Amino acid sequence: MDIGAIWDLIALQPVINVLIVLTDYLFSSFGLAIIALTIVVNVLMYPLTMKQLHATKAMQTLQPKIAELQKKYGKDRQKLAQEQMKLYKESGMSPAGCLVPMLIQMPIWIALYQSIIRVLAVTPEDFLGLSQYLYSWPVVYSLLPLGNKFLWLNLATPDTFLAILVGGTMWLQQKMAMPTGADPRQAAQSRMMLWMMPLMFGFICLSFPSGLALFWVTSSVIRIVIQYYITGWGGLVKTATPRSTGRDKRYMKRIGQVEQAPSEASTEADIVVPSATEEAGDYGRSGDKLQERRGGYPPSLRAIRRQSGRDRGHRPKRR
Amino acid sequence: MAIRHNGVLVGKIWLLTVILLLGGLVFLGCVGNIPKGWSGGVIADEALFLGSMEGKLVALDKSSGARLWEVPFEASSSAGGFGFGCAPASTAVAIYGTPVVSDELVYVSGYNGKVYAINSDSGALRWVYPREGNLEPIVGGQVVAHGKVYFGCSDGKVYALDAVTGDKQWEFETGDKIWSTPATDGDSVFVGSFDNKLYALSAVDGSQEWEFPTEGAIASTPLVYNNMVYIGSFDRHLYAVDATNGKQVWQLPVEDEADNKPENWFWTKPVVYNSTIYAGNLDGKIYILNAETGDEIVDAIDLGSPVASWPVLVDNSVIVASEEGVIYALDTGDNQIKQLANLEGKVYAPLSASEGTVYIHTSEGEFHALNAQSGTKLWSLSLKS
Repeated sequence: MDIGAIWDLIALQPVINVLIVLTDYLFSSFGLAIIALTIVVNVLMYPLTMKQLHATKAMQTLQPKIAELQKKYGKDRQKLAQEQMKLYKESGMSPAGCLVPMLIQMPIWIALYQSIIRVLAVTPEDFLGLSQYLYSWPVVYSLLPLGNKFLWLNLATPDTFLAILVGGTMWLQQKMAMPTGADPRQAAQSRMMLWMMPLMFGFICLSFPSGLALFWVTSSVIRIVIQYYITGWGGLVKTATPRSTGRDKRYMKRIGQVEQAPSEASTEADIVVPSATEEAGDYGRSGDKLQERRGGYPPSLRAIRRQSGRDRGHRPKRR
Repeated sequence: MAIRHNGVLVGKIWLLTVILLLGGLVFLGCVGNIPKGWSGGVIADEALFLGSMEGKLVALDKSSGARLWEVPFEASSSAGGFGFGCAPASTAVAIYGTPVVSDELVYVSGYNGKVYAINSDSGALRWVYPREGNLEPIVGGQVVAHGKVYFGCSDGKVYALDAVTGDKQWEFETGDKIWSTPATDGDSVFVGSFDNKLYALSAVDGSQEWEFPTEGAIASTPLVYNNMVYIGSFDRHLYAVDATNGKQVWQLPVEDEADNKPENWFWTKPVVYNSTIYAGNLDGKIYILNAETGDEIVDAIDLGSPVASWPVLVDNSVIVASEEGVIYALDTGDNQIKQLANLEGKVYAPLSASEGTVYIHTSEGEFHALNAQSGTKLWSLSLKS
């Protein structure tokens, strides 16, 4: 059995058949089935999604320190890597913490995406091919072909409005996820991503069946809700203050402990204010207590910012 | 690994992910979404006509495969979207229905929603229907009888056109798409629809004579034999229906829990020989049944690959192709099957035969002529430009 057949067996066949059965339960509406399955998959992957978002957010919190390490050991890559790894280790984080949940989710999204494409069966060849993915459940055989009408949409053909909606909701979610007070290089990349992803997806949706666009819009809306739970409106509000959940607070606490402890990292990697934290200087001026209440940066980072305000980027002597 | 900068690294990973995702979206999900067609060949005198996967009606010399002429058809609209692959990006007209020949005219219909009448000698266009605009895609073929051309359309209608002028004579609307090729017998036209019903219509005025409901959509073409209509459905049943009144005579399987229950859709038209029905199924089996009673004469023969193309009868053999491109000859005397050839190409197009030669159009755009006895390849050619 080749890898394609295994993929079909464990991923595509179950999703395709569940989609068809859901359509039967949801008033024979394939559009509703797409929305329902997208929600179900999101609910199942909620722990992974949360883990990824929390890790990303916590990683952003470390940015000032990372930037400083970069400044200090920029020419010595090996040392920089060592110091970064030390910092990650001591703060209990790993760059893989953002990636691993995403990589686990990717095949699931691809399976869902491919299944929708196959069930839509835009051409006679696709429709004939669909027969090889069906379980021997009577409802599955009798229900096909599924109706492609949903609201104003023909789910098998592209729809301009839905393509715009895909781009719009993706932009919104990206904007909410954008780190506030990131260093300029990261901010530039985030800005590029903010526009590139929605534009590309929106553009692609002008060619894809709108059933897929419906799936993307639903996914984006769910992600917006989750993102709001994690970061509030995030980058949408200029002076946004991030929301803190219990898990965030645990991350922050750990980071704070690392910073406050007279650790090797803090003695060796003397934290100096990066330019990015200067941009975020308002936080310091707005009052520590307020920030603490809102779950902002941990005390040591705020101390660094205050120092930054005094030194204006002058590098203190290394102890 | 030296981590240059966490933000840069994460950014690059995101960028890479997006690129992979976008590439994956196009290549993983959209491959095969361009309609290509699966027209079989039809033989008239020394010529063979078929629709190529490049949207052309091609006339060949049936003995040598030499190309006599070809007529390209225009797509109803340009490529959908921006050519990312999920929308049809080809301007070629997919031709699914096998052409038919009558009175020096070749009739062929396209996925562009047009029916064409072409002079069989010269390839000159006689008429096109509709003259302006397009119908919904036409996937089934057409049949000519009583001076009319009958065909079904994805708009759910059966159309009858004047065979000489192309003027519409009548239309009949069903509840869903029609991909089935109509069949005629006497003054009746039989056609299956995705609305799960088999219809019998008056060939003269299109009025409904009866309808026969099944539990699944019908894409296969009815077989009419001895005043019976045999039709397969997506509900995995094969039905025998009285052509006069639409009453069911028998069904396969008799009970839903029967051991011999077919495991997939009936997609192809059955063939009949000497009161025996040979019906291919997408479960890869050929069901061999008594035409009058529906009893299985022998156990179904498993080809191991779906049977999507119409079998054809040559002398005492039923020639059948599996989707994988393996061609078999089933002896109607002892119901033994032997492999004739392996074309190593997908076969969805109906098979055709003439004077001991079988003609097969593969999905790779190759056209083969095989000796029906030995399986020897007589000639083959690529229909690609």
